[in-house]
Amino acid sequence: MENKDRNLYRLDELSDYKVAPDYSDVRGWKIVDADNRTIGTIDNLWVNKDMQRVVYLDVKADKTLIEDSQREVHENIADGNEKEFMYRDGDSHLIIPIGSVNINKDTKTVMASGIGYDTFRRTGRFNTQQRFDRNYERAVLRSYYPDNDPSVGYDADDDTFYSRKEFGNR
Amino acid sequence: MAEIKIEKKKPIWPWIIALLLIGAIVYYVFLREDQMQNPNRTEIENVTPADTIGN
Repeated sequence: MENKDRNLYRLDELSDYKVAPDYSDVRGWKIVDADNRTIGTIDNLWVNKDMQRVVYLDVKADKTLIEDSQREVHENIADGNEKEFMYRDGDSHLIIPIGSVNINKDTKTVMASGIGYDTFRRTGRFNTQQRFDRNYERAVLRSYYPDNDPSVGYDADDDTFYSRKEFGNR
Repeated sequence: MAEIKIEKKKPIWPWIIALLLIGAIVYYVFLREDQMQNPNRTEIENVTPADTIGN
């Protein structure tokens, strides 16, 4: 499924769109977990054109987080558990649903208070050359929220998927 | 829980057209004034009564 079928675009691809007034353009801001550990920097915003809002933050993962996860992969490969890990070298970007974060305008920091460093470390990443698909989005949600109810729009191929509470809908 | 809305940028061309239009109006008004003032600038020849008395 192409991104355009999901109405999903990077904001910088849409030259005729901008962040609405009264909302923060968080590109370039740091993102931290609940313990204030750096996850990375927000590189871009994934927006749903029909819904006219951001659905994911595109985060360039911090070098330390990548190194930590690579170390874990190597340890697991040594233990024969390599099937648990799907990502490749060079994959350095993560998506984080907008409803999972809080924005601090004063410190220009975004906090993912409900997701820990270890979860980010274990979540599959992508690289900017390859676009991610809906299956990757589902895998990310499963990784961040393993206990959340999967029934609401989880299998949807259309915008219904973004009506889940992880995207800021109650 | 954060929310970031996006909106379509307002196109710049209506402003360009408006500026051009204002420019055209201003130019037209001044040019017209100039053209209207030109006939008034024709000098009126003074004919003094002394010129006619001699005849």
